[in-house]
Amino acid sequence: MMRDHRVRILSNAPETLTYWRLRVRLSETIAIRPGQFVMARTREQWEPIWRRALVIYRAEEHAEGMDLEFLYKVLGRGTALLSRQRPGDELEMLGPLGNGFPHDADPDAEALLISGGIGLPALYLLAEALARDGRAVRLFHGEPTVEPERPLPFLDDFARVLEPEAITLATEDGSRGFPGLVTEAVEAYLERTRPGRAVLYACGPTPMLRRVAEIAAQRRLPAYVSLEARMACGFGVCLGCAVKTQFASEHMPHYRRVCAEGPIFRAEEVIWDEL
Amino acid sequence: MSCDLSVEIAGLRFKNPILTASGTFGYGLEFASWFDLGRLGGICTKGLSLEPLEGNPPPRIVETHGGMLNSIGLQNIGVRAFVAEKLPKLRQFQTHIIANVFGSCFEEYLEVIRILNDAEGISAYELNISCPNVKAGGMEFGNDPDEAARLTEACKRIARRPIIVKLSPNAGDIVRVARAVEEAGADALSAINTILGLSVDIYTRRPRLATGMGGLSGPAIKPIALRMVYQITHAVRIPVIGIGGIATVEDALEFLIAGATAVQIGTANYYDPLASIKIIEGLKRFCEQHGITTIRSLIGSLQMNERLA
Ligand SMILES: Cc1cc2nc3c(=O)[nH]c(=O)nc-3n(C[C@H](O)[C@H](O)[C@H](O)COP(=O)(O)OP(=O)(O)OC[C@H]3O[C@@H](n4cnc5c(N)ncnc54)[C@H](O)[C@@H]3O)c2cc1C
Ligand SMILES: Cc1cc2nc3c(=O)[nH]c(=O)nc-3n(C[C@H](O)[C@H](O)[C@H](O)COP(=O)(O)O)c2cc1C
Repeated sequence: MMRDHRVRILSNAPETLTYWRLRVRLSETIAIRPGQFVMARTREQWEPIWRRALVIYRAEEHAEGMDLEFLYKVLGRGTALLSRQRPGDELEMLGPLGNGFPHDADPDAEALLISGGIGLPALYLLAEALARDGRAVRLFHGEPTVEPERPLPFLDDFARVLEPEAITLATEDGSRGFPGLVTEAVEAYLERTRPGRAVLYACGPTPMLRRVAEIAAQRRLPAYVSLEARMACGFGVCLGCAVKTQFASEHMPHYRRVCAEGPIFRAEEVIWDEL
Repeated sequence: MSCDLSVEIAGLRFKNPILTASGTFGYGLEFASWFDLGRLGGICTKGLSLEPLEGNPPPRIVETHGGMLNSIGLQNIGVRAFVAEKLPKLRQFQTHIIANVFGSCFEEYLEVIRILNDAEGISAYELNISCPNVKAGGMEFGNDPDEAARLTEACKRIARRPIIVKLSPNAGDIVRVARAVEEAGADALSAINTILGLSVDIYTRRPRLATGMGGLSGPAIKPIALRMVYQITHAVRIPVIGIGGIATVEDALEFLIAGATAVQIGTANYYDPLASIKIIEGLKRFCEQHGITTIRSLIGSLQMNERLA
């Protein structure tokens, strides 16, 4: 159930030039759906005043409770503050929040997981759940550039649950893997293999998600996208994160809340021109 | 020794002076899984209009130093859906439900109140007068003392429950508006609503909200709100509910000492859904530590430097 969990930091360190990995301990176990997130802050934090949304990357149960992992990119004030927290420090995490990915969308179809940049952490628990169900799963991950010899530990995490050849790294500058946009790598794959059935699951920058929606529409494949929006609360009351969608409730013909009805939407529901 | 936290406003007894502010607490029920809503002094609902409103295009919010700007556009499910779907559950809690009401013209305010009049479980109406009057060229009702007074009088005439008028800090002279609506029959006042502000993206050179400007709330506005509440309480005889940037028990105490009979917690609910409960607990502790037997003894106890008062 959703609660404000007080968690203790086990580790918090940069993993690559861009990504940090945060590991925290909860004193209890909670049920998490892939793609759900928490709203995090340091204890008694007043500035910046909003908590920051972080998707739950990995979760591991043990005798004392549960360890959660997050991947984040240091961008502005909130993530900079987070990066200064040390092992032993406490954080407050409200969650789990949001709807999560449906992982039973089409049980016989191949699952294509598509991420751009910091969209990646939204897909790990999904990959794990689908692989556990014996589903065919592929991951396509895109970065602008990757240093040639540097390891990518988070891709190794995925390599433990997926076949190594099921993982495609795409770089825009061609420094490693498929040269080009991750969506081009996905299209090349679909063109080559023409799977009869496939489900697309995506998280990343909006232009990437929009392209995924187009690819899915052209090929008549179902697609689920995880959207981002500025959030003051994360649990449905501020109405700040509303996005325009095709099928909303009777009272709200257009807007739905990314934090409550989302963050995962069917790609064809989203009105992309109004994001 | 336990302290009596109760206060009275418009003939209603509140078990404590901590209420939650409109638009920051949903329809109340969203918080029922966090704590017993019956522990609150009262709940002000999301602003209710005659018809459902879908609100403004995104982005609707932006974080600023010590606060945030919003232009939600008063998105709400409409007064009829509120009465049918939310109120039956909400009125089970032992707290005062205050329906926040707005409209784009006089008739809309009156129609919303008529519908609420027939509903059970509401203690008072809070008029949000910080909205554009479509029939008067889009000028906010709350910016003009005469307009605000006429609206208050019209609502008062039909309302079966006390009327609290929520004042806008964007009025040229909030004290004049306060006096005018008191004269027109308001039972109480609440102040302040958000302060009009702007945030600019320096790379695109565009406003960071889709609508351009928005309302500032949060700790950044507290000193302004406190000053206004102080001035208003000295100009009127009816009770004033203080609102604006309250995040801690100390903030709430400042408002009570400055003259507010109760306070509303707004933006703090977003980053801490338990903020209002923590403040109630803090009030109890403060009173016990300082031998205060009734919170009412604090209200308006501010001793201003005489030369500056
Ligand atoms: C459901 C969800 C899950 C997320 N999961 C992760 C994650 O696992 N790892 C990660 O690094 N980031 C994640 N983000 C983005 C993260 O919450 C921060 O918004 C982002 O890292 C920027 O915060 P900041 O403090 O560095 O920047 P600031 O510039 O200080 O941010 C100012 C405000 O704008 C908001 N904001 C800025 N950029 C974005 C954005 N792209 N999308 C939405 N809001 C934004 C911030 O949340 C903050 O409220 C997620 C966002 C959402 C909505
Ligand atoms: C997102 C948001 C929505 C709001 N919606 C309403 C509303 O519908 N009606 C209203 O009277 N005030 C509304 N307010 C104003 C608050 O009730 C309160 O007056 C203001 O935010 C100042 O208090 P604070 O600084 O504690 O938030 C809203 C404020 C915010 C931040």
